[in-house]
Amino acid sequence: MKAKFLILLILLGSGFLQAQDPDAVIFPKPTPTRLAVADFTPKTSSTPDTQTALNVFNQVLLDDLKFSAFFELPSKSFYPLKPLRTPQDVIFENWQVPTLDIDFLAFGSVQVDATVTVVEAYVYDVKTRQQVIGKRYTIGDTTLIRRVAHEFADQVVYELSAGASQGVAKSRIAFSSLKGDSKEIWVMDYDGANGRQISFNGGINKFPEWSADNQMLVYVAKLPTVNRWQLFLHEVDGRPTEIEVTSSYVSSPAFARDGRVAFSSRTQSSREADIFIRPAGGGPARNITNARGIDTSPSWSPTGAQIAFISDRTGGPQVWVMDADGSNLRQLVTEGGHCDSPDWSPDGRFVLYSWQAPRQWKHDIYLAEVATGKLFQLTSGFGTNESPHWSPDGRHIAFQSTRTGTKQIFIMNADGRNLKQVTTYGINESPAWAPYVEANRLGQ
Amino acid sequence: MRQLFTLLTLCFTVLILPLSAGTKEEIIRLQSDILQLQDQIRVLQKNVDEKNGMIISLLEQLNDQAAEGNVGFQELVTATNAAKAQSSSLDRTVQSVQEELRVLSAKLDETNTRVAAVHRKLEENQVQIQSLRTVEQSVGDDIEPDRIYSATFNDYLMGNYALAVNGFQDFLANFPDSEYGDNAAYYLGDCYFKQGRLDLAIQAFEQVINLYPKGDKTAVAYYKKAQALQELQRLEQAIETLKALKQLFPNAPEAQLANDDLIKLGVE
Repeated sequence: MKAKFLILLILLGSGFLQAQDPDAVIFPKPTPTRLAVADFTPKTSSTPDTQTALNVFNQVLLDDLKFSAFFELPSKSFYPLKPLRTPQDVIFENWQVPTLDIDFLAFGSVQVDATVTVVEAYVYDVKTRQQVIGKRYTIGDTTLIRRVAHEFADQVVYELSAGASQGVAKSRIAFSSLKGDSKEIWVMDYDGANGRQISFNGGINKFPEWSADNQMLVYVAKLPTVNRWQLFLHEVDGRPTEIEVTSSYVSSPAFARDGRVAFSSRTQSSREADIFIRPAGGGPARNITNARGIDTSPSWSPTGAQIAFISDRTGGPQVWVMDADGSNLRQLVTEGGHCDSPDWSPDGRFVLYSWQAPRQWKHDIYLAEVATGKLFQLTSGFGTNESPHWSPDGRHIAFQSTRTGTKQIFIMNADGRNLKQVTTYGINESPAWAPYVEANRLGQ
Repeated sequence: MRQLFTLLTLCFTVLILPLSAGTKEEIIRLQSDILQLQDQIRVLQKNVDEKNGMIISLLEQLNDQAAEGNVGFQELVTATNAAKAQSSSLDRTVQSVQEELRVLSAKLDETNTRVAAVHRKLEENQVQIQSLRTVEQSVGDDIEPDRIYSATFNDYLMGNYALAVNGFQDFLANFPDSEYGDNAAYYLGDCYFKQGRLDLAIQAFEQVINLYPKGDKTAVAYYKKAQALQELQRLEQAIETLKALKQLFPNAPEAQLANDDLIKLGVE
């Protein structure tokens, strides 16, 4: 009887965090939209340049729409064989057979000429046979063909989700990368393409975070010739500027939407780290957690009124939340173990964090509902999974994982599905997904 | 020599005189012809002069006409250019109108799609509402207070304070004994505070202090009440509240903030 009771306890205990279905919470499961993405074809003639551009365009578009988490995409093996170039080529009956039964059909053409590349892209509602999207993109450089595929993918997501998401295909991720002797800040497209080095100081650069307008990164660096950690603001297309801090320790900075910067540092009189806030226009930073314990990893709520952070003031490092003036402090996660890297969701509802459970050797990614403190586990299995970061639409998560050996950046849906590795070379960590820029919202 | 000259003259005269007598009539006739020719030449000359005059006159007329024609031509060219410009402008306008029509058509398509998508979502929501009603009927009034609190708190987090005020008021009215009661009362006050409705905020914070004296929102309710009082320049009451906060909750983070405020107010 005792043994049965123990087994029951173990089962209940192990199922505690998995008992909540994040899918039911995050995605309320409306009827999925079935979308077919026919391969785009040459508009007039299939030159080698056109074919190369087509291969890239078709792959990028399909990957973007698959990852968007909005659509069911039937296998292309069920598609009618006739290539689609223009709307006149579509025989709707062929796309309504039971094996496909799609709601929408995307198709179009690409043509590379001597000076320009033209992409014509369409989406049709197969049921009503009405055109939903008709776009013509003209670019002077075929290397921009990926960008056009991303642009069209985001347009499809925006239109077919009735404006629920602007898509993430055009978004970028900043991260810290060790390639060679130094760990520098890099920026890449969300899918890992177009990686570009931002810092070149030869030191250790970590914890990048984006400004609201996507023009600036804030990060910390330990330069080879300087015996302390420094805090830098860095224009993505410009030069870094150091923000002075009073201590030799500074870590995990974060931009609020209004330009304030929160970071973890120490006062000269204290050995324990606190959370500081630097005003938007500059000036001296203010200590807002002047208390016992180490406080690190601040993350702003969407309105900038609250901050989630890690504090060990009651024992192990746990997730805490407070108002931006330091008042209204409360502990959000109370499970023990070791929490790290909280990140507040764009809709305000959740805080994402990594957690190493007591007596476990690895971290996994969890969600905590801010209002109620309910927890949901998102990753499991081999490797340690850390530094989670929300996508701008709040439907995806980027994080670092050792599941394939070395530390690499992965992205997945916010329910833990649709996992995708986006870096392979070097050691890559601390992903920071760029937020939406308000002025550039589609449809405005 | 003189004799020789005389002899030669005589010979010439003997030889020539008969010949001259034979051609005299012809000479006269020739002279008459010449005179006629001269008359004809004069007539012709006169005709030529007349014709010249006419030609000159015609040329002058032509010149005049040409000059007039030139002006007319220039006007014609100008008019043609103006017509071309108007035509070009008209083309541009037509193109612009066509472009606007194309954009409008595209926007109409997009709007139609969105309407269709919204319609689909509405249908899905109606299905969900129907299923929720079914669930509601089966469980009666046993609605989870934490879901309602969570939704309202999310409005608060996203800065939708008017919605959150309604939500917290409803929550407090329907679930006064909920574990989230003190939180709801405090956040109701904070919504008022953030809306600038300071008197209502002070009332709400006092309710938290009175109803939940041992709750985890009591210290921050004191602090926010003092802030609202400072905003209203009721400084004596603010100082009193801050001192009470320090005394009752010396270890709360708000006690340190109260201390900072008291220093700013010149009290400590």
